Amino acid sequence: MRKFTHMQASTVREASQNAERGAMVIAGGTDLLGTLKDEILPVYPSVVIDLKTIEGLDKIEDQGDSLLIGAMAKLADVADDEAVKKHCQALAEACGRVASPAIRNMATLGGNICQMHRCWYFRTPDDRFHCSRKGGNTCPAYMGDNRYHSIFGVQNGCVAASSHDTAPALIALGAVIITSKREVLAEGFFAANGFRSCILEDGEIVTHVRVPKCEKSVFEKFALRKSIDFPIVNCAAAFGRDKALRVVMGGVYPAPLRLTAAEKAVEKGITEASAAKAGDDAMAEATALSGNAYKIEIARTMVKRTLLRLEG
Amino acid sequence: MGETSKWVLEGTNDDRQEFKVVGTWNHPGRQSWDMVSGAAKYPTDLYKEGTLTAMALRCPYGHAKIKSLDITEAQKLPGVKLVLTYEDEELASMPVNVPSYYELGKSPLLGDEAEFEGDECGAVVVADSEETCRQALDLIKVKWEVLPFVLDCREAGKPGAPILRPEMNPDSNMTGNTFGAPIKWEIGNVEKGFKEADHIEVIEYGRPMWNQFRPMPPAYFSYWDNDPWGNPDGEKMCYVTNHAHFPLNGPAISASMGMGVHEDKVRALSPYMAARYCDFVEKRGAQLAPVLSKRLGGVPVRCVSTRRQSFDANVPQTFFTVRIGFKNDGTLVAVQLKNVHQTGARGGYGDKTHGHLVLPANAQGFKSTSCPNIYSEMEYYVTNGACTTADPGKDSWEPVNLAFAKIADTLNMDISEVIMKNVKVTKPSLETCMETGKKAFKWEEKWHLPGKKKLADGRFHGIACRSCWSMTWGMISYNINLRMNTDGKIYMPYSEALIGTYWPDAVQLVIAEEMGMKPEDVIVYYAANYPNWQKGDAADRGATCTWAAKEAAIQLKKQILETGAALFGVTEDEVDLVDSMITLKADPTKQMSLVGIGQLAVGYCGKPKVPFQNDVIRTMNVDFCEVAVDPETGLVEILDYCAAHDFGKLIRPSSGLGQLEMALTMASGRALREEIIWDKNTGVLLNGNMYDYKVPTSLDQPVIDTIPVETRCGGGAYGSTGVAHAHCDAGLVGLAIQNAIGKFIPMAPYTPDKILAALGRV
Repeated sequence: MRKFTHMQASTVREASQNAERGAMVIAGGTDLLGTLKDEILPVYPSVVIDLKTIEGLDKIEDQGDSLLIGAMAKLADVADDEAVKKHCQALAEACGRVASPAIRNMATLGGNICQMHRCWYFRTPDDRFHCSRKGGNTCPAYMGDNRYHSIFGVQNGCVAASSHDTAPALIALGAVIITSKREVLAEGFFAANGFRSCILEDGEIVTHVRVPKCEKSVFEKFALRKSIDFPIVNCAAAFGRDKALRVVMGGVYPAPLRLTAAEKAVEKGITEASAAKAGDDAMAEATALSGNAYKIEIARTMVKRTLLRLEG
Repeated sequence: MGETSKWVLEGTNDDRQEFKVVGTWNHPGRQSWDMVSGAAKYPTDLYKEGTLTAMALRCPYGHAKIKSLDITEAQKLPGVKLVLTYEDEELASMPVNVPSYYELGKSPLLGDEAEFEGDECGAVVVADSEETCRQALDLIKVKWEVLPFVLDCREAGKPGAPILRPEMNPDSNMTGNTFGAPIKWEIGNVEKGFKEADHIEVIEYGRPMWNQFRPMPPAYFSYWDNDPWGNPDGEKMCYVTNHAHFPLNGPAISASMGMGVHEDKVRALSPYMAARYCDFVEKRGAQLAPVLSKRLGGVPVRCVSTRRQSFDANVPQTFFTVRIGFKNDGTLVAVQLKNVHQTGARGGYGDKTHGHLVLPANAQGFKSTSCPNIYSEMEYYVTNGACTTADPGKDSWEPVNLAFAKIADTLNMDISEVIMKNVKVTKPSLETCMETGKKAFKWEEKWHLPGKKKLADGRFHGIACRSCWSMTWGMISYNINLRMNTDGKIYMPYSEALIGTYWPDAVQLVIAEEMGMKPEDVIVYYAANYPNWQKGDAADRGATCTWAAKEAAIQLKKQILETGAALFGVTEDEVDLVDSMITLKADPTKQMSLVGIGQLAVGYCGKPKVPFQNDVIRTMNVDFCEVAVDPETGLVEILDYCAAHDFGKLIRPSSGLGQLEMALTMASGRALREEIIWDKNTGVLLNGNMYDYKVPTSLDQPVIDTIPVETRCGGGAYGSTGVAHAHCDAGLVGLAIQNAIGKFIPMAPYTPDKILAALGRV
């Protein structure tokens, strides 16, 4: 890995100001360090700012009708937190399914929602595929090997699949992402945005996530391995305290997708039949690329199974 | 049932019935301790003050040639010590000899043409750090001529395919991508056999490239220093790391042959080379490191690779079509097999001898059946994927087992019955493995016709079994030196590289057994350049090495007893060695320590009477697999995996059974997830990392039952034999899936997309 200057931030403002000047921020580092080693981006930072030294950003607070989770909270801690398990089960389950125990003890919630896409063209070292996300003109996955990619088309010229496990859970739970500049609903936070997978602007840093407590929520993940893997498909469903149902799927589009068709299919109750219909309806608009038709079948099943588990 | 093995044990004490040490547990081995404790020094661990780092330019294209190269800016970068290009006279002349006889394409050590994406090509930089190397490599201005590439060996064999290595066949335009014409052979009369058959079926099967280097990227460390014996010839000693385990291609050999110095001037630094699986490919860094060090006056130079770059040597693709004819009772009467095999870049290992005899999934295994009519045709082609390594042994049985499964499927027979009906020699080994394995696996309770059973959770249930030989490779003589030192301990040096087979620890137990020593008083230790055999190590050969060690131990014991008897004033028949003590047989309370009684030594060089392999199968194994297949997602879970393995004689149980677990874990990964994937449009490797290349994690480890069988029919000490090659067989999982869903999937790995397609859901 090339050398860079490592700075330890003491405040969000300090970190944000440095980030605006081109520095990269590091939380757990489980994503960033790999990208730096492989030099996947056309630019390489001269400064990396450590956010872990900012006091208080790793706390999980019960605020009555919601939980306020610091962006530096480790995934393992979120997964094991009693309040999260009780009131935001889907998030606890999602955090518990990210990568491996070793990584979950390093990686943070903020890092997970900000991690870059796992497209293997995007991630090939030395910026070998200068794709549209890096300023290029094409998406090599579109005509290449896209077995793990989007089944709902292109976003901003990209067919990479969202790979955050926590994102569908946060959206389903109606969470709000709090940054150094604004508060954004999780549903509007994720997008293929340059090399980022979210709408953060230069210098903007996620500080907290506010997660409303809900009646019940669940998370399901389909991957080839039981550990380490990013999702081929993941799905979260939650009944809010307003009784509203949200069903959200990841791994099927560059951003997690709210499956309103699935929600509608079960508005009169979740049964084996309505859950199956929800899966069918959710996939009605899916369009496979050359190598990933199988993902539609898996996604269909995951919607059904997630809803049945929510009901069960 | 088939014939009975006629094998007779011929070595001294090979028929020993009572064992005090061999076959028992709780003997902490030195190698084992080194490896699990972290004490073992691997090439990546080695470092000396002042070590420089070397990295080679790597090609970013699937196949390309350098049109021009400008290293001016790289040379100016602070910290850069040396930049050599393919035009350097010394590099251009290397290898002086071909250090690896598998590199038949005779690629230069550093050429101007890259044969795959990531191939070392054009230039190598030596600098004060890896970071500086990378910066210097970025400063090298290269103009590439991008050339056509081929990634699939079947495509490489087609008329009109790009010619990748025209120099291989200068006088022929057969395809340009092979070393020669297809190899063909026939036993009996195949067409006549098919006329006698009641059924004729065709099986198509293939497997992708699989990765070989797993736990750590290779590194090569070398320096030159004064010969500790002085420099009468003016030559310094070259120290190198040991990172290959086969004869004629270890770094020591590479260095000596490449540098044109005698082998005694090359010293290997560590036996540990990390887990590699039967890797024939020598990395160029092994040869570059000593060359670069010498050019810089002997300073230590470390050639490093990234994780991704370590994907440049892989297990080859193979594809075969097998047409079988069989009777209504399941008897195989005719086989016609065509195998198209990949030799990979730089020529791989696809020479006629090895390609034909051992390595690919050709028809060799059918020679071990009672089928009288067999025809084999094998083609082999270079491609631009990566270099290829070996993956021998069980591959020859892969088509055999698929043929057995096809017979069972067609005739609604139990595949275990088809195996026993058709394998030529079934007693005692195969029969015992099959019986004990079936019992442990509960085969009779689990077996059903294909597609006929679902589990309570709705998943399809399937089982299968397959047979294979447990090879003992007896083509190498072992040179064993044993000595008793004044400390009363027994010492045996070895020099082979170790890949995790633990054979020195097994040898320790055999010596202890034969001599009457406590295992802890037998020290099998690494001694660089001690010639046990040519160079290197291989799992199955470890078993035959125990045989030579046993013979040596018997000779040394005789010397010790002669000495002890003289000291006791009795004849040598009146004393024995018991727990490392010379003991009077008539009065076992009278004992004498070996400490200080002298220094005694023997040398034994020889080998057991073991055929190279193939046609004689005395020791066999049978693996069983049970799977559940999710019909809605195509996900396969291995529920039970059982290996009944005839060790002949199990010498060190923790090592032997551990190897079975390792091999089945490896097989499960290859069966369910692993494959090398390139971008078809550019030839660029897409999954050269441990996330995208999906080896099993600990949570994916299937439940594995290991069933040791001991028939004493092998060629090693006490009739022992090897383990490793026999079980890494992805095809068995495919057969269990076939039993579950009623459909045969012709290409590994068995990923959800293929399962769902077979089920008609995609």
